[in-house]
Amino acid sequence: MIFNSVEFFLFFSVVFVLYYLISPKLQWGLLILASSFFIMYSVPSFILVLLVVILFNYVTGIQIDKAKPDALKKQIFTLSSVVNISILVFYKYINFLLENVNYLFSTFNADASIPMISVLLPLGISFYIFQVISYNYDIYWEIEQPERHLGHFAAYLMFFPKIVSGPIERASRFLPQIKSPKKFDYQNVVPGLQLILWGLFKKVVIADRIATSTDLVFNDVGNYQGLSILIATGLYTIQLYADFSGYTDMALGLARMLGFKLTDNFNRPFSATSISDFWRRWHITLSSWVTDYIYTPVSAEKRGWNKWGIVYALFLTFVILGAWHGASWNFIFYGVLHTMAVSYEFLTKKYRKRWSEVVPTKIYTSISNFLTVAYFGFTLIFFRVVSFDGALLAIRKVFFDFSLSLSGLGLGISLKNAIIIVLGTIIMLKLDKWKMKKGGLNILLAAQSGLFRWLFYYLIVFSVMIFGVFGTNNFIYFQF
Amino acid sequence: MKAFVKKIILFSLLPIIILVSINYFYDPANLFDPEFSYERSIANYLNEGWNVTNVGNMDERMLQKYFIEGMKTAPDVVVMGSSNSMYIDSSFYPGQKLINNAVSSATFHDFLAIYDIYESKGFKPKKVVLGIAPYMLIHPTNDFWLSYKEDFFDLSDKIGIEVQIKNKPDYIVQWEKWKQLFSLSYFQQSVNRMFNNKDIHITHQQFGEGSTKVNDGSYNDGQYYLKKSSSQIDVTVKRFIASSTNEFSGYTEINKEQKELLINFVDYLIAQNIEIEFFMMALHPIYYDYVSNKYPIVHIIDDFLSDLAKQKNIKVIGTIDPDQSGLKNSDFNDYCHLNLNGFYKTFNIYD
Repeated sequence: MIFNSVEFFLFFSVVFVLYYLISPKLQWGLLILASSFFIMYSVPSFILVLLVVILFNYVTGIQIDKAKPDALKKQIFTLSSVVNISILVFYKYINFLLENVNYLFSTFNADASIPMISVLLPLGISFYIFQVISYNYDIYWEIEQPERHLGHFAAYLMFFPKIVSGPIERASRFLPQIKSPKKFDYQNVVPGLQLILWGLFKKVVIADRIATSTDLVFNDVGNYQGLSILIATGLYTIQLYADFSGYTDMALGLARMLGFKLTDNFNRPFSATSISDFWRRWHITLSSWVTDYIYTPVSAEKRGWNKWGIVYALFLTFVILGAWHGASWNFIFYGVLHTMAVSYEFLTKKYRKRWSEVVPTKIYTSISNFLTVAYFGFTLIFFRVVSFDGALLAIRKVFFDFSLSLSGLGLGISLKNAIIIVLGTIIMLKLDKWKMKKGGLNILLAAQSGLFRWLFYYLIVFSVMIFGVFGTNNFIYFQF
Repeated sequence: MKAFVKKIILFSLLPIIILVSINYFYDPANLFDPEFSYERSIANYLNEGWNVTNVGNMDERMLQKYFIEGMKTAPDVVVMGSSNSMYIDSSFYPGQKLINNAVSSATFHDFLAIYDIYESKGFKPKKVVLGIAPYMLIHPTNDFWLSYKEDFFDLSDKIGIEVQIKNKPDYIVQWEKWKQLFSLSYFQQSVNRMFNNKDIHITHQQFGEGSTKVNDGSYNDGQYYLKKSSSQIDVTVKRFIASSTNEFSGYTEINKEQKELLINFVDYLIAQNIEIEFFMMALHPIYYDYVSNKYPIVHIIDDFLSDLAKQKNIKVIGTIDPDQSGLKNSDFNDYCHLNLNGFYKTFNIYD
């Protein structure tokens, strides 16, 4: 059940009305019921994995807190981490690992082959497993107290607006919210609706429209010349942002309507002037998670290695970040490419600072911004093209099969589509800028008259109705 | 909360009213016309000798029924098939009266139903051209033929074939129809119809700006297709390959029900002393390269039809493999539809 479907609209309408009609003491129960229905709507058995994760981590959280001496605490924490990671590895990476083991067997002419395992990736597993790992970690380091109310803990992990693609919400931010009773509040519901509407616009008007061209090129790179692949890469960068930030806006909006404030995942990533800066603005809940739970502990442990300890921590962090997206060498290499960029920025900080003092600020910032976005776009080739060979072929084509001829582009974009994409993208980037500066779409709109607000809403609604692309395009991050 | 709900309802009224009314009144698929007046009027014009342009979505089966029922004289040649066969017009069989009854997404059920309408009318053609698209032999049937299911069952009873239909309950059919009033993709087509006048026009010209239904039942695409360059079509084909679940995917053998229908229908026509021709449509070279390497069923279909034709002494026009008919990329409108030039080559009109 995707957010931009009629089924979800009906589901949420019922949940929303019931949520504010029942006693606030029972709201967490309704959230668990609604989330269970939401999860089971796709594949009913997905709920079982999540229930095991909930029960296991509920117990380990309390046991880590209770355990004495510290050695026992550490043992329970280690056990919880190993089990959680094993669940993720089993469901997400097992066949990738087996494929590589079999490849090694065949390389060494070993007469053995391990059969693949038929396993479905449970909905949102990458997101909730990361949430429980950090939950136990925070308890182990006594940053947080364990949650003793099983229902509240379950609602934290199951909460349907964020279960599928995040944000990866920290327990410390979410659990206090679930404890406070929620009353219908205009100040939450209206901004929530605004976010949903805006997210829907980004998804169906911009992302899905671009997808019709990028799918064409990236599913068949061998038949396209360099310029087509280059343009498709640029378009995919916008598509991914519109798709994922559109999803996030909708998730945040839905949660807000139910009285929850989730963490935003984006802060104008295309205004970043370095890849390090970019990761502080893009998929923030994931990048801050890997920073807190991988980079910081690893770099602290490798202090003795000086700057190479940092580079090592960066490598580990970005490889895990890349692999988190999916079980393939493409995603691992995507992480490696980001390690290279961030390590380069770290190692050349002094030189770059000197340059920035010599070159006029505007020019320096513009060039840095362009290079950052271009590099990110380049790495997305490994993110989007399904096979590693395909990604390498796409890059080879960009460099060695490049012509400026527009006639054979084959992107299948009509003039009407091009205008909608360009205008939609400009509006999206301008509004994001405005949103970040003024503190939110709701604040911006609250300053306007009622008539203006309604006209604005109608403009978005009719744009979605007339220019939206309606089909079966799922949100890109649903696959992770 | 009451005030909020009231406000939301009030706000939603305008978009919903606009959505529903435009979908209802501009109705691009003519769903909300129980009398089939659109189909009836086109059939009447065709029978009066007019060509009809700007033909839009309709129930093609009902059009065929009204078209045949309104005919005054029997045709010599009847063409049946899917959209791939719609270009076959009278010029392909000079000196004979040809009627093309091809319908989109045809199955062999359509062949039987159409032939039965001719029989009920007391018309017996001398020749029947069966345009067979590969999918017809492997896919299970669709629901479109249910529009004239009485005609189908009339002939299937005569032929002695028992066909079970898995009818959807009426309330589901009605729900699927009425929910289009709220469909946003239907709304986009309705808006398109609103701004591009889609009223049908009658003419004596065979090629119009919009699509044209010719009075012999054949069909011509409008300028949209005619203006498409070969490279644009290549892009469309690549896009189709990249984005769709392939029509051959998952099929390893000929569908038993379809096979039985075709063979029994052919035998029935032969028994009636009616000459049969098979028209096998070629696939676009890019598409053929892709599917012929990936899906062995393509060759199974080809062999089955060739063997059947040999066995029953049926003339075969065209092949699935475009090379064998000397067809190039420029002879196609998309991945499986020949353009007029492609048809002329296949039917050796140039020779």
